[in-house]
Amino acid sequence: MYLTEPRLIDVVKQQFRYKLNAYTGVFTSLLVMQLIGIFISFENSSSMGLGSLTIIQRFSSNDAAVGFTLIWALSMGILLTTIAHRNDAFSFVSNRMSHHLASILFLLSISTIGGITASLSGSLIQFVTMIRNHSAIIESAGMFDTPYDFSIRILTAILYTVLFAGLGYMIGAFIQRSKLVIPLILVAIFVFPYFLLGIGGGFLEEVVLFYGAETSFLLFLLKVSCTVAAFFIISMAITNKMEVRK
Amino acid sequence: MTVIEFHNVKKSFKFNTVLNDLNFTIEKDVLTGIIGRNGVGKSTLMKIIAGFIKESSGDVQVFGEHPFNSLKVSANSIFIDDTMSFPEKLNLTDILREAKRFYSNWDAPLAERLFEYFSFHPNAHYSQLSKGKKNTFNAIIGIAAHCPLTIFDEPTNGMDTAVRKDFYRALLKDYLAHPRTILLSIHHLEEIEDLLEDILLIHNGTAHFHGPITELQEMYVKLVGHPQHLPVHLTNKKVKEQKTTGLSSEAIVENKFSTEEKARLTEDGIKIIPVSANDAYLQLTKGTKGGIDDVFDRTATH
Amino acid sequence: MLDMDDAKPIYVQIAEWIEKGIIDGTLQADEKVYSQYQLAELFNINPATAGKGLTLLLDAEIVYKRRGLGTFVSPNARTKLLAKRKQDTLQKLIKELLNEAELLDVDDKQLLSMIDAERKRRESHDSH
Repeated sequence: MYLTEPRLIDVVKQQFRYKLNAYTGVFTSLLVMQLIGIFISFENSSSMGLGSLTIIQRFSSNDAAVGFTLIWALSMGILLTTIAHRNDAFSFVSNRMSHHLASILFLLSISTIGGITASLSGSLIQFVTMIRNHSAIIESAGMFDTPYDFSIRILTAILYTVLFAGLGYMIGAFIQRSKLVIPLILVAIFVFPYFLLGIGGGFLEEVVLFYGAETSFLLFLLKVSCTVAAFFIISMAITNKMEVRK
Repeated sequence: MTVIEFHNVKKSFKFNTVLNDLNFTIEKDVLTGIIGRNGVGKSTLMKIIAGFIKESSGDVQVFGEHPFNSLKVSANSIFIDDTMSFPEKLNLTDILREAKRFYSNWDAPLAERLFEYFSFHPNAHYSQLSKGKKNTFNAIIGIAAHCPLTIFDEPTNGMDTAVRKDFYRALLKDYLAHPRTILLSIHHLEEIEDLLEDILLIHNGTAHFHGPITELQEMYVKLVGHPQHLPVHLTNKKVKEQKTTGLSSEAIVENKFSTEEKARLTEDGIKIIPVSANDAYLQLTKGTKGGIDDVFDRTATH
Repeated sequence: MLDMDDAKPIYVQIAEWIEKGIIDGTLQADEKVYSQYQLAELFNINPATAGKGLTLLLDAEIVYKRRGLGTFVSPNARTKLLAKRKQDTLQKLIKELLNEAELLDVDDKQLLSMIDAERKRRESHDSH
């Protein structure tokens, strides 16, 4: 029997297709998350009374839909590193490198879809708000009037989604290395920022500003790309000796 | 051509050392049975070969490469055991279609025929299958993949007798048609004795015996004769087991008899009966703690 | 065909099965013998083990090989096997007979008369 000489790229492609066929359920969960987000968005309104005059101000934004998409991306990142997913992959041809690359490719693909749909949910919200209130001032970029801003908005949403997916993947990789990481992460998420914010401003705020306050799209792209690349490289490095199907 | 090489391989886990200074080589297209008592490290050994886990020290070569993280080893081998897992979303037909994309030698018509023969429902899902059915499905993948190195770790767990027989027959027929290197670990050696060419017996972390199964079988013989005549012939012999019932006495002894000794045995009416490979294996791995009877004898005297 | 429960090594049984075919005339001189793969398939055994059975016969010159064509029955195989049977089987039976006779205190004279009696019984049986 002849030996095959596999190429990494071919195996990555096979594993990627395998994931696309097998994990279509991730889109169902995305849809559910975004619907919840959209539903919440409609409930934001505030009213101001100035004497006899009452101004009702309605805020409709897709912040909630985007927020839920980011939570979804984070959990997808973690999910892909679980033992179940790894065993699925290693039932067929794979090594750790091809497994990571296929997973990353899959995360990037679903994050792109997540980012696009999160952005479009904003358009949906605007549309519904407009119909409900008959008049509204739309304060954001539309596909036809400002196509450049519109595409930047979509790309930004995608990049945020990728950022969270990458973060999830790294967290998942750490968890796979040691279950002790779980309480540490909980501390990092809930206690540490509180503590830091307590002593004035702090780290988390700076992190948020580092990405959120960036006005140049190119710089933002660069920052996110480098961060995500770092997440993935760290994940690969710490799991490269990982034993599978034990 | 050598397919698998182990040099001084050790593997320890947190609390115990499983493999200790393991040395052996396996040649191309040989069907080898990996045997040993429970917990002796058969699965560990085979997972090192498949590249799933990493040896603690020593040198492992499969197809001339270190298997851990080798894509070549992964693409040319398949490992069938209980840890096979498939995505929930896919049905059995989908899984076979995925497998086909991964293995260049995949025999789709054979997979289909076996699938039908063992009456699987195309739309069934893997998680709904019973343990025996899961292992039957895994076995179909293992056979149809036609991988140059095919590894089965306890493939028949949960299968009923008829299915086990069918599996052995299917494996042999496919092996005859497409010779390849096969490793097969199994608890019931007596069921597959005739199927195997070689035996690799793991005991105390080392390769206790590695060679043709006929050689293992011929390591011991059973002597049956009159209780008065038998003991004389057992002096200076390594007796592994001995029992007397009425007028007949029997002993399992190391098969080291000269032609004259054999003649004298026959003269005394003692029959020399070959033992099965399974019996030889049991004798070879007998612990120093005696048999299970000794456990009860000891408690009885207290 | 083969007794799989027989404690004899399977390759010895394979060799004996072919020998039996030669003795009873199923396999004639210069006739082709099953290949090790056919034997493996037939008896559900490893081809290497089946090959060992053939090697036993090759070594005893019961069969011979023709390169690329297969294994064939030697011209004098049957004569050889009959002689071997006389030597092995009959000799063994005689040994057992003597052992048993000794155990039962049957002397040679008695033994010979028993053989004679058996022969006569058969002859009378055949004539009827």
